[in-house]
Amino acid sequence: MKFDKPAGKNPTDRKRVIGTSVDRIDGPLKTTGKAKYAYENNQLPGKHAYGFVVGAGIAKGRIDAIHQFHAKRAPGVLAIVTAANAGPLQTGKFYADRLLAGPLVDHYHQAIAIVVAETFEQARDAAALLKIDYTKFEGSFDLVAAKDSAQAPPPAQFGPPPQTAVGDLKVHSPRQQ
Amino acid sequence: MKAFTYERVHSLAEAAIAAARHPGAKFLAGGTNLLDLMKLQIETPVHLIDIGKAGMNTIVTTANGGLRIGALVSNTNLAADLRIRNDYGVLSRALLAGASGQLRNKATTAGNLLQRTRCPYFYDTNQQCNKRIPGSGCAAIGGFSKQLAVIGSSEQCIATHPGDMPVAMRVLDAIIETINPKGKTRSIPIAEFYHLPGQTPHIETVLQQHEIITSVLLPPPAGGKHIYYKVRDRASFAFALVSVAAILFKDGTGRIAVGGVAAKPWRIEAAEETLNQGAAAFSAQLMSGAQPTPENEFKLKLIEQTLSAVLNEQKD
Repeated sequence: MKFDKPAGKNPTDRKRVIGTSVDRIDGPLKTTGKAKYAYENNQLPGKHAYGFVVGAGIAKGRIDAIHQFHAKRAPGVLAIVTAANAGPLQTGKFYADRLLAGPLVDHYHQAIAIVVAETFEQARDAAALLKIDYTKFEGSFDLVAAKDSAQAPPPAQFGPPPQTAVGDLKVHSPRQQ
Repeated sequence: MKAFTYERVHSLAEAAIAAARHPGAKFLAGGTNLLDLMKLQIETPVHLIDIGKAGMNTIVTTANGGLRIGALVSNTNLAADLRIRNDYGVLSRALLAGASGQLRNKATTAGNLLQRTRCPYFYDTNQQCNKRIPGSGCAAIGGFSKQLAVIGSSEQCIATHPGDMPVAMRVLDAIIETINPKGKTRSIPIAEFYHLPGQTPHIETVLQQHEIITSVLLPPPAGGKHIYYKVRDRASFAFALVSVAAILFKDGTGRIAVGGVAAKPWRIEAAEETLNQGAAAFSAQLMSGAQPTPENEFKLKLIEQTLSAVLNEQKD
């Protein structure tokens, strides 16, 4: 093949797609707030309810009480789900912790309740009305200090077993072991 | 969000009348900070007076060659103004280092001056915070304080002012012009605008109740090389660990303010006399009396090194 003449126009030069500004077909819907969320396409009868997750206000300890008097009576509230009334909960394959903490709290902002209401804003407002009593326990917040107590995690539901190797990075990389 | 009432006003006179009717009211401009804080019930005004359509959105050249920036000029329009880009480059660069395009479209000049701290303990209503609830204590002291103040702080509060724009305004010697509901006007140099926390960290500026910022006055162009360096955990959409606003002159003199280190843009004019002795000497003067936490004492070295990079720019 000899390149002794100008190549002429190629598909890119025609600029039908590459090099042109193409509007996203969902752009106008999304920028005007008219795009539907998945649940809004649901044809099920009845109204939707909205949940707001309440996170633990302590990092380690015990929930002594969740006072719900005011939250239950807030406008639009349908239910307040906690570990005490949720019944048995499974965690599924991809989650390691309990879905709802209670009475023990394992980490900060661990879910301890879900407030369900007719609108998201009502659920969020009612969540702010929950009053929660805790007893704080001593937590572990220093990774370096806790290093020596580390244990290899159990195998996951799928994939290879967890790899652990202890060594000195300056001497040898774990990749080479 | 707590229930509140809302009204829109179209002039300062209407705003004054509305404020007189509602002692617990707050003014709403761009809303990029206030609305977030209301959703978290950190701010709980009973009434909002929306001044967003009350004019004050032009940039006018003053008789002495400076600029008067309307309080409601958006961060986007301010950063893009040719006069700002040509003669006050540090301001344009500081604005573009902050937030995102969408936020800058809404955020206003006056609102940015009044942006509240991003201290995580101020935002988390489970935690003690003297700024949020005076007298409740400070969980940031002894807590996760990497982002927080290293100088000018107190035993009550170690929060920083998070803004970029005010740091640039500080080296430009901007003057904040206000009016109160009775029609009385004030001109406040930005050096005197912010309070350090002291015993009252919830009182952040010298503004009185319902006193409105109407404009920000920039003196005539200072000349020199305008630089804004912002050092942060990621390259975009993050608040400064340390930022440096600088105007440097060919004779080795200059003006420098540092952001991300105190409850206000940190500038010590007297320290600027040591600029010709290099970043280490200047930094030592500027940060004299710093009281960092173990988690953020790295900022002192970071300031020195950022200043060094800034001063090197003048050599180009």
